[in-house]
Amino acid sequence: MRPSKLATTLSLLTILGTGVSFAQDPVPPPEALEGAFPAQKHFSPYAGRNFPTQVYWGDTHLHTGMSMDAGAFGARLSPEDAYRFARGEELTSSTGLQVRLGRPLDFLVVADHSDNMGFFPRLYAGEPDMLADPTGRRWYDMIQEGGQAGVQVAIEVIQAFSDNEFPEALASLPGTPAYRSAWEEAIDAAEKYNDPGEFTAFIGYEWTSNTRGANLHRVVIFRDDGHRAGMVEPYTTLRPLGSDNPRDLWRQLQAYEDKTGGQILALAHNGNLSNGIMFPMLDTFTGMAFDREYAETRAKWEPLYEATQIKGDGEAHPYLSPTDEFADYETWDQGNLDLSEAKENEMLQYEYARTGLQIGLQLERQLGVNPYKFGMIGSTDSHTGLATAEEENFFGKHSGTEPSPERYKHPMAQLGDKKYESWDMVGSGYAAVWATENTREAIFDAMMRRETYATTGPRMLVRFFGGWEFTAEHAQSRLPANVGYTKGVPMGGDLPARSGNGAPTFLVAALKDPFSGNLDRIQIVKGWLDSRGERHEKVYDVAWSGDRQIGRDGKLPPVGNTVDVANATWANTIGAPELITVWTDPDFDASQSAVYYARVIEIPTPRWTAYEAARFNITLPSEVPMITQERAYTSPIWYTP
Amino acid sequence: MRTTIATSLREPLVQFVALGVALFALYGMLGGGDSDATDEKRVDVTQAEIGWLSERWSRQWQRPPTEAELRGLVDDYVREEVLYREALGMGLDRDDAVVRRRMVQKLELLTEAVQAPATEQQLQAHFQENLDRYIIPEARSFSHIYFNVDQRGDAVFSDAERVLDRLRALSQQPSRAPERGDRFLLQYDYRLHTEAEVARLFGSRFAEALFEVEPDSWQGPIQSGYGLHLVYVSDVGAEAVPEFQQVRNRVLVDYEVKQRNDAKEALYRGLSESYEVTIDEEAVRAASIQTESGGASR
Repeated sequence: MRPSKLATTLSLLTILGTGVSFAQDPVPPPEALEGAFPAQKHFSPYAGRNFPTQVYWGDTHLHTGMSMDAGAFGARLSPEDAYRFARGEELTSSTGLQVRLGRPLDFLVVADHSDNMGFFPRLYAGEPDMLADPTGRRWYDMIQEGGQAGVQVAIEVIQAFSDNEFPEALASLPGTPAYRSAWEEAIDAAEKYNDPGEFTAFIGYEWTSNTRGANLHRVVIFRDDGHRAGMVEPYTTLRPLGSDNPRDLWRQLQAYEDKTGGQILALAHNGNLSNGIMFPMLDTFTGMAFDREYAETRAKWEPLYEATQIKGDGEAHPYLSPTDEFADYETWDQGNLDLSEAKENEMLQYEYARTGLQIGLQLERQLGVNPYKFGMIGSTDSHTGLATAEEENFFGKHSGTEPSPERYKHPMAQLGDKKYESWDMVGSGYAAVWATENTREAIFDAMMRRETYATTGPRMLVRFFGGWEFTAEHAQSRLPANVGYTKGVPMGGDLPARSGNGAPTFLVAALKDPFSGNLDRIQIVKGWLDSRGERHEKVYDVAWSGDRQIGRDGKLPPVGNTVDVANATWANTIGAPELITVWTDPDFDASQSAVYYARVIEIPTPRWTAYEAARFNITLPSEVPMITQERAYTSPIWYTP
Repeated sequence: MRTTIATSLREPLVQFVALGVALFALYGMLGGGDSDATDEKRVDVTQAEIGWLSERWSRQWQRPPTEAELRGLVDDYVREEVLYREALGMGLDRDDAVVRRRMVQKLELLTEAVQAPATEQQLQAHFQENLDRYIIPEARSFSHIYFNVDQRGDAVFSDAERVLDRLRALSQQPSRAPERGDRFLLQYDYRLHTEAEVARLFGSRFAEALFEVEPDSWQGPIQSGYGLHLVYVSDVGAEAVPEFQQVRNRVLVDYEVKQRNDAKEALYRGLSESYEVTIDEEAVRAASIQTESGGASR
């Protein structure tokens, strides 16, 4: 394919060839560039830069009609449709709307549920085996009826599954031709649309452990091609063929690598719907303390966590972080996934990324290994086959919640008196990956080294480096990334051994998404353990727009608000296009383990609900939020004494 | 899903059988059959039906049926056939969404199933007919000098103009030109990017302007989502037609998708020609929600 996305190396050589040379910084000493990006000797000052210079954008978590619940909710799009859409083509959605992404994505993982994969297409097609079962027949009729009856099927399907009461005659189980053919369809679609250098189509699936409605879901992603992925079938959760315990999933992942020599990873999401078991202190399945093996295997297989998506933001919770004015962002905390169990405050600490990272430090103290050493990505978890996270182009959680003047009236899901309103859905998020090229291998490898960040949809560029010798002038550098890689480690890394007596320093930079709001501020969130092993956290404002001063309460005043809700517009007259700084931890104690990540916040912009109201000329209930402040969360950098 | 079933139907044998069934069905529909069984109130269980029943049993149980089992299947079949015909006769299928949807699916699947694999000639032709889809768009290599509005405020335009004047006055291109502006977190130099690629990084307005400026000289300032830029286009890769082999895989995928959709459309168009359709517009309006902006847009 055309070499447009090759490293800058080429560009400089060409420009030299035309007699125009634009050099900037002094050449970084090649030997200073670390092992991950082996240095080469070149004449050009840029040519030593074989670290990632580009962010690739994607969704690691998209469902199509192959997923039993997505199908029941009305999704008719196939994995092939999903890849076509992600790479920028216009499609007709399951509800008959023409739809296209504002900007294509660089990669996509179609991650249909492994349990009953392909069940729905068979039911929908009215295969005789399906209709012979009374429940199958009833579901089929309800689906034909459409609308809320179809949504009800989805809810019954999910519930029957959570309660282990799914009719055996309907099940699509590993080892059967129906299951195999669904898996092969998923693989074939990825193989067909994977186009190295242009668009990466990963093979993947979702393992949906959901016992009693407690969300322990994991998306599984293959680095490999269809030949290897086809040597196994997706692991399910129902015994005896599957298991709802992540340890058993990890065993399967190990078996895959042993059998094929391939590589695979798992990444969890929606701790907020796990009711206290996503980042536990004790083994939920036995009630016993964890052993070192748990910590080692979890850390090995789960380098990332999906920190934001449609079903609520997973970074922080206001109950856990009462002084963080940005912690209550798109919070979903009524209960577990199917709302069969209400939320207790006690559960929250084990559900959010911020506390999860700190609990990881606590477990590391006990076990010698940190099981929760994860980086961050965002994804949609959309069940429409459409990876939409743009506020002005948001197609919702499932096909019953695609855009319509009626969308806000129907709950997204409901059980008893508890429900998720459609307008609760979050127009979020995407995964940003600093990779050397757009291939399965390069993006997967970047995920393994956690050089990733999450956004709630906008494509802002974020750099975050930690080291011991960054100084204020490095923030003035023409090429901050050069300095970052040369003198420190990128997001997802461990601070190198401490040199000198100083505190750790961080070079952090953000550039706005040219299509979205300006930047309000960059913050660094620090979590650490005191000498007794107790958890602590603090949010530091480190760079911001304008000449605002930190107030006496230690808070930076809000950036302001230019949103015109009625017309769903805003003005970039506040905020900054770019923020960069070097920050030194003012409260550093070398004897305490700590974890740092950056949070980048945009100025207020219209939420998807505002676009919807303006587009359909409808008035939404007054409790519906109409303004959002989109954000990015970087993978952390860890300090270990 | 259709494609799952379609996969198995791509087997040559299945295709052959399906085609046969389709033709037979059409033949029956056109009244060409020499025995109109539904009228005659006869049920003949011939070798064909027995073979079909036995085969279906074997597939489910992984062995042929015993005679007793087969007799049971035949009895069931006769019973089903009689009741089925009577039900059809009473028109019970007409208002049943399940039956209707299933019949439509079966008919459409037949058209998909009989699609032959694409030949190289067909792909070549598809490529030629849709050249604009495969054209490699114009791409430009460029460098830019960035002026940060946030830092320079109102002076940003005059600053950019001043730098531009100076650069234009120089007889030789200076090295390190981007240093005359502000630091920029993306790249300063880009090699052969298309307009769409530039738009993803800098916004559409900037991309459009970049693809209009004269190459080989400093131009601008151009506005982007970040601020102002002076640009120097150093190389223009003209729009080009790729070799067929370069894009064969894409052509194949596109061709198959198109073939599937065309076949369904052709089937519908062919059959619907003989129908006269009227729609009660008044009733449509009465039974739907009215909004000012109409349907959803993207």
